[in-house]
Amino acid sequence: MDMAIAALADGVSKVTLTGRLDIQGAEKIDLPFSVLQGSHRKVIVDLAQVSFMASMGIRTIVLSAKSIKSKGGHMVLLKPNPDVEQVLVTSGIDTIIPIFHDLDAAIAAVSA
Amino acid sequence: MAAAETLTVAADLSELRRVGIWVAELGARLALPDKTVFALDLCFEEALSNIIRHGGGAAKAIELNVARAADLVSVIIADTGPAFDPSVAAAPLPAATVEEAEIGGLGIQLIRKFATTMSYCRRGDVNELSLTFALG
Repeated sequence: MDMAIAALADGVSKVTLTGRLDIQGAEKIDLPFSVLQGSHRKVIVDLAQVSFMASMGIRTIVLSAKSIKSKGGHMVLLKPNPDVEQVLVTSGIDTIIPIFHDLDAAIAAVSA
Repeated sequence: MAAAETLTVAADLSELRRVGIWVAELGARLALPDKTVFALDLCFEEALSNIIRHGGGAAKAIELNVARAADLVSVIIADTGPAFDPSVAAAPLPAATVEEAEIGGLGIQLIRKFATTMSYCRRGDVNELSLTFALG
């Protein structure tokens, strides 16, 4: 599991995750995600390169979204593959952390 | 004629990566659709992490059994931890907002959704969780 952060216009950050968001993957990004929460308020998490996600990966994402929200920010998810999206929807995560398949729509949502 | 595959792993979270690799390999050997391989991968990760994290150290080894028939994949996960029937565990209530979201408790819900059927029995001091996955 790799994580890269890109700064887009107007204070929007795009976090690109690559690999398996299983227990080991979640452990690997827990710390960098905590660092990110401290300084970023408009966060798009790009899941296009995430091949697998289980409940511990969801935990990392929900904890980050909670932390960002508590500081007045927004986090959304971008382009999960169909299997990963089904994991998110089954878990009810899509109703609390919006999922987008279009970058412009994701940018508009975190900038609201 | 069903083809059967077995893997025994120690009850340790570090074994989950090996299980993931095994699932990918048997997906190729048994010619399973990608969707089924993903579902198996997910259900093993959730079931095993529950056994390992909540088994109180009583589960020493976990045995995984996968058999493929024409239209179905059958899985048995056997462990010697305390008796626990995940098929009757309550699902967490859905959260309305990020602030309310409860962390955890999702694993069994994911197994219930991604497997076609789920059943449990206790044989002596062994938990047996049986899952099936319909093909096609």
